[in-house]
Amino acid sequence: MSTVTSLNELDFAAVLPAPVVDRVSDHALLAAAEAGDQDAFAELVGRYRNQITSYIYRMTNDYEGAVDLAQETFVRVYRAASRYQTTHAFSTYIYRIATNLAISELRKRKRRRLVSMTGFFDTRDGQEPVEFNPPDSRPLQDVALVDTERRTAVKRAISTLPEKYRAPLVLRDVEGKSYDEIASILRTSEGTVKSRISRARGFLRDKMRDYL
Amino acid sequence: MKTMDCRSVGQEIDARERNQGLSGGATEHLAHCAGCRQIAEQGATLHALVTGLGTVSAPPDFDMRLRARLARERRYSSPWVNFWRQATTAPAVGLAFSLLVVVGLAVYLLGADPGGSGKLAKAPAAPTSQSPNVTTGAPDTAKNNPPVGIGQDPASDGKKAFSAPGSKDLTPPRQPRNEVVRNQKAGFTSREFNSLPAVTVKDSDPSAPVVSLSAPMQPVVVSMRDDRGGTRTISLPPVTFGSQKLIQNQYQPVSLASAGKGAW
Repeated sequence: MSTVTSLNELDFAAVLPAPVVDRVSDHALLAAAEAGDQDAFAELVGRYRNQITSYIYRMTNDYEGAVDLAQETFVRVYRAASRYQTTHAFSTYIYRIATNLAISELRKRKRRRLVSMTGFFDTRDGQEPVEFNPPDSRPLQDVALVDTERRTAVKRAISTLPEKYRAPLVLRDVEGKSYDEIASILRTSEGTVKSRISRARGFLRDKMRDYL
Repeated sequence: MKTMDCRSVGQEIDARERNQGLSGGATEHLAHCAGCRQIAEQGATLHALVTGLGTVSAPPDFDMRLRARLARERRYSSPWVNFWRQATTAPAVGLAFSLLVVVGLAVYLLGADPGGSGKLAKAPAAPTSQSPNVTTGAPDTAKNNPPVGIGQDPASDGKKAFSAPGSKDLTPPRQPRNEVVRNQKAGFTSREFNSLPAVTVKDSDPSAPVVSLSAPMQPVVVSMRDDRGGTRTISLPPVTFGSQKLIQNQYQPVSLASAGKGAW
């Protein structure tokens, strides 16, 4: 039995990650998944699961529901793999599916909600008022608590935005997508996207005035 | 330099991207307008808050749950399940399918009894002497007519109120009370149907062969053979007359019996 006398004798290669191979494109992975390659689809899921879950969570403000919808997004991608066209980026395609699912879920919730007892914030856009709790005006002692409170308030305030403003705002300010990509995802013009994002920020600033 | 109003500056602030400066006009406006300056500061703080939310990670078992879900999808992805899923997800298709089922059911139910309540209306003509509650001003016609329903015009020969579904005349009798009164004035009275016996309809074929057996003390096994060679064996228990036990149901058409095993 040999003994190790120095660090150089240790076999670090065995624990080092495998050499980085060229990143296979999403299109190629989806084509392989359609042909029956389960690993290719798993790789695709690994690339987008956090992004999609996070995006739907920001849209719905419900983590468990967001996970379910993210899974449904991948199921739909898998089911419609044969109909996928490579004219757009795969990220655009999957974000579009996720957006549609999230908006459908929001509409279902809106139908389920019979009476809004606390909805006094008007969207100024002819849509029904959305719920938003007023902030507590008493000063908080701890700075960390203030940050947590503000973050929670921002999440709630985003979730009260109308769908057509919420989606572009989250895609732009949270997900960091370009205007062009957002326009493709939402199937609208770039000018409309910019206008909606600007209005969404205005709404959000009004809702968050007491926290800022 | 052209100065901007508060509204334009507010729009520019909202449209501003991260690390992007304002235009010269907006900057000059902000130097003089405290309200817009406050809006700009709030916008910057809010932008930092929103972008600082970051991404949320998927749960560790995300892949496993997704695999299970896909496997379940694959298991139940038969054509009929897919069709049913499509029918239930597309409201219009689902509605059309439901309507088709309802219409088909209605057609089936109507077609099952084309005569409608004709059998019930065909009660045996009771002699006038056996129905003491019936007094009629026209005894010669009452013998040949079926009983008249409640609210029905007796002069209509029972065709209007209880017409068969296939018949063309479906108009309900109008103003039955007035008709009754008028008929009473003319000498008619109503009939009491509760006192009449229920109508028995026998569908037995009088030409069918009848086999009479005495009631033995031992169980009797009767073997019958039809015209096609099928055999049915019935065991008759010794005491109970009403129960028959079919101990062997070996009916086999000749074509199938000759086909042998493995025909399916």
